[in-house]
Amino acid sequence: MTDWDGRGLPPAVAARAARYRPDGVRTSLLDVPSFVGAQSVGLRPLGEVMGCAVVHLGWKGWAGCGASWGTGRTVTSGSRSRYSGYAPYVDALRGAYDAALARLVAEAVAMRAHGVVGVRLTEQHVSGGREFLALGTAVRADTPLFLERPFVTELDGNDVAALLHAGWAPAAIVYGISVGIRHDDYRTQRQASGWSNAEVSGYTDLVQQVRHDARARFRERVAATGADGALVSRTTLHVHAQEPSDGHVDHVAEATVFGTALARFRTAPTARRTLTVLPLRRPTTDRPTTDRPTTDRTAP
Amino acid sequence: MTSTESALPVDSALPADAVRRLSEMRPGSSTSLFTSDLSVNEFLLVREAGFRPLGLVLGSSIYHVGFQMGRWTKNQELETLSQAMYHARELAMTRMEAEADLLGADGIVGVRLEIEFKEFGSDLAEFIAIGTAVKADEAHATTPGGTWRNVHGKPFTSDLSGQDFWTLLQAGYAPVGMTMGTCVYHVAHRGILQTLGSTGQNVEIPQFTEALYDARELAMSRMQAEAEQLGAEGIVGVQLLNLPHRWGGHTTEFFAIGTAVRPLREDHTIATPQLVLPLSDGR
Repeated sequence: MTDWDGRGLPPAVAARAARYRPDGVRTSLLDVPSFVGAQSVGLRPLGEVMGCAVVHLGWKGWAGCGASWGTGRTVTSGSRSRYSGYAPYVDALRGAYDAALARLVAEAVAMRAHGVVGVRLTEQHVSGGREFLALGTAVRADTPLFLERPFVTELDGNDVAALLHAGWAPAAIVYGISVGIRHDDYRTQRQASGWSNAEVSGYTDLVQQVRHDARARFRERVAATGADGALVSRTTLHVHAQEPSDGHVDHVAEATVFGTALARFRTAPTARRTLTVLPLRRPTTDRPTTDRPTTDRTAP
Repeated sequence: MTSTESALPVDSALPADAVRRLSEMRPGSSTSLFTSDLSVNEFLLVREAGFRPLGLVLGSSIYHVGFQMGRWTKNQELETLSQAMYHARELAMTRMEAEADLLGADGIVGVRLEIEFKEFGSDLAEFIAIGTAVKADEAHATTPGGTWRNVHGKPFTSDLSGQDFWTLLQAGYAPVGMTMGTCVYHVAHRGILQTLGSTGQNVEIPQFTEALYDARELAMSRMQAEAEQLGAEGIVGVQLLNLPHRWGGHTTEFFAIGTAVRPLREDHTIATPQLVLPLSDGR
């Protein structure tokens, strides 16, 4: 093992690229339908590519709520004021995801790929830090054109094929992340307890603003890629309480939006009509059933 | 690629066009950027149905659900809790609709209405409504009856999937709005004598049966009333859910939700679907 300084790609990648070239063995993380889907639009899987970054997030920013007395107000990481609490933390998160994706793309470029499909973007705690991992399958079209930055998408082969047929190209994985904090003021405490129904306006404001900020950041990133729109693949929201001093409670909310930016590449799409089909298999139960499992069916 | 592999019809001009477009991308070049949480197939079908996604719209409310004690031995609706569920959903839906209105949308498709009880407080729940605001293409900006918006001049809402939405329009119907009815019901506990009386027997417990009938009837009739207010012809995709939330075994929310529809034309036929035998399971 060598001492790698964090620039470029780890030495192991070079070994993989070298192995890929001479024997021409192609690997892929796609399942069969996804593989066939990709091939149906002339995208040939080249091999699996990975990008990984383990980071230590030690400085979350000045995590104050901006007002420890009187009326609370929501401060989000995107507000960029002197109270924008968790901005360094959010910047670090984005930096880590960016690094993982950039390394994945660098491997794909080394393979002369045009895109990476079926990317799984994950994040997990490992000893001493957090690992950000991007794992996907590099594909290449039968064209001599070279792409400086191959497209990257979480969508699998069939989805990419469906998009290309309709004149849309997946461009890049985009995400918006926001963290907000709000002090529990007297009004919030009163609304959140007692026997009567009430909307808790403080918490509502916190989650609305954080969600809004995450969506705004997402939109900014989509616009920055030059794409025409984006399909969101997942949104998350986590809220937790923290007590920086006795009797002083703040709530912190973290929201994320992940998705794929799309670019329209044909002004007049082919007049391909959707064919209605009825698959001959057991119906999937994607709707919740009306029966609540209240009793155990195990034998006495 | 060997010749045996290319038995499939391969359209290699497609990716070449796509690659060309991707190499020409410049930041901020698009004038109307959309976002949507529809799946790829849903997105393409909504486009084919003649609607353009405008943006992901969302409304949220964190609500403190009050407290009401049901009488131990009585079947009854817990009005305080029913009202809470109505009010909080209404707040979330209204906020989502307001976002869509700002975008100038004709409707909102693929709406998900979710409730999540929060860990950080007792009886705190987040009510979320999330969907994709859409606008009809110029070619059919109006319907035979007027606009795509509903009788209240607000964007229509629909919790149908993109596939269902496409099929509905093909069949000559338009969604007018999501309708819902809720009823939080307390089912009576049985007294010790009643319990003893049926020990060792297989019998119906009429008291329980009646309670579930009553509660479902209340939820369904409220949903129907909402559809009548919207001037709908019927409600499709109805789900009747029992949501126990966090109130213990005897208190349950009965929740009916569906999409109210109106006819766009006289005949309601669609092309007969082809039968296919998929080579894969599930999905």
